[in-house]
Amino acid sequence: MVLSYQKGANKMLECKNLMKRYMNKTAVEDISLKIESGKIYALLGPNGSGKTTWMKMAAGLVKPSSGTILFYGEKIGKNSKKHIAYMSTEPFFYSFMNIADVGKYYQDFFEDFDPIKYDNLLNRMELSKKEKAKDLSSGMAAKLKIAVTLARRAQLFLLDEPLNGIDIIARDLIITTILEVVTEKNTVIMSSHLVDELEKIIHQAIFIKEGKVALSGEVEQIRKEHGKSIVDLYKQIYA
Amino acid sequence: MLKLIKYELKKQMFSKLIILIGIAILEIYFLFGVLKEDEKVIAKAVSIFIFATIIAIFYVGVESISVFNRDLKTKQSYMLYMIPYSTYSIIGAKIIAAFLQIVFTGLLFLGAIIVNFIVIFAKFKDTKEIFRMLKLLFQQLLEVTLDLPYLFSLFFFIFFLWMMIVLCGMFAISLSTTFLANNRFRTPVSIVVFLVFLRLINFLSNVLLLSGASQWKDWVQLLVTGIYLGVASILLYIGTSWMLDKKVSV
Repeated sequence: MVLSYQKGANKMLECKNLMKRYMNKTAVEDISLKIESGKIYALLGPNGSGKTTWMKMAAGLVKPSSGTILFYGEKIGKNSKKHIAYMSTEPFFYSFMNIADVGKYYQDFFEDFDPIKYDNLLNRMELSKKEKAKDLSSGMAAKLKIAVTLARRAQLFLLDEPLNGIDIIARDLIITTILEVVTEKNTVIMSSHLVDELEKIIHQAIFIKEGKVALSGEVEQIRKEHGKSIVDLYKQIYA
Repeated sequence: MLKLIKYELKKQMFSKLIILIGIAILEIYFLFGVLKEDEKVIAKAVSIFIFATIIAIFYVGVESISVFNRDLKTKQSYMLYMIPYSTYSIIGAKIIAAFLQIVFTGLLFLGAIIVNFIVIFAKFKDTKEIFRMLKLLFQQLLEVTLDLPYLFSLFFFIFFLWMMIVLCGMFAISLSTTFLANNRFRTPVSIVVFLVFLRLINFLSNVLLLSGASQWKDWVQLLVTGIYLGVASILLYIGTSWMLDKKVSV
């Protein structure tokens, strides 16, 4: 299955007219996107713009109300979940788990989980395996989420607000760690409000506004076409 | 699937520990009564044992429904629904875990009750007479013959009745989080669905078994009803998994 996913064009994820509605609210209205392999994407937008819902649909946690989303031409489901690593904004580990249990859980369910890499990342993040996941501070919990997600050798990493709750010193550590996982065969999609932090490292930017794509493309090209930095464009689009 | 079951059991490990401690305390109380030959203490311990058995089995089932609900409505749901397993496997593991825990709790109490009977047999000589009286009481009050096949069928029936109720709960919760997710009355509607399903299963049980029931022995009737409830449980499992597979958003 892995081989078939790596064959062919580098169009990894494709969604067409994707829509998700909750009660009277439309979280994602109409998103059509093509995500390629070997790149770092920034999913930009203010709270409630639909970034998290879109990521959850790509991770198979939310079913679209309409439209399609395909991973290497296949519907999101059991097979795609083998190759997509999702990290949510909020901590999501079971309350009975300590940090070692979290790693064991990922090892039990994801073939691409590398326990040695997990141990190395824990050391780098200064996390002790004995600590209970529920007792961690928000910064430590954020580091744990990063460590366990990036310890997978996934093809697509979906990181929702990976810098949330992380202090300014640890941010560089997180960004370096994220950059280390990117190869020409995989892709990282990150959402963040910290646009200036992301601008330095991303290849592609997707601006989401009110559940729709307001602007997307290669970062260099966007800068040239609009004569503005991504940060300034962010201010212009959402101000 | 085994790994999924392992984590489902871990989630509810604490309550099993409490039940074990409770049984140990009750057992000590019972043995104290036997050693002291205090009939009042023995009677009280036996009554508490029966009451605790019902409460514990009830609690284990309710806890399974509660964990199922939590795994759909909190962030912990990501742990379950992001793994590369089909919804049928995930729900199947939950149901098997609930099944194992109800059996485990039932067996714990059954084991303790058997130990108590052995102790009573060893300590008191006129126990045969007590059992004869008990059997007579069952025959006159409930019009049933209290023998081994009847007791086995009774356990079988109670177990599947409770499993069916637990699954009805899971079905109603799944309905409220999938097809009724965008309906503001989803909670009351799902409660109504839960009650209607229980009534419907009970009604069908009466219709299906009415023709043969009068010719059957008591234990056969219980056994057949248990099998019927088992089939209803399987259908509820398929319905629950299908809804979540098609519509779940966590």
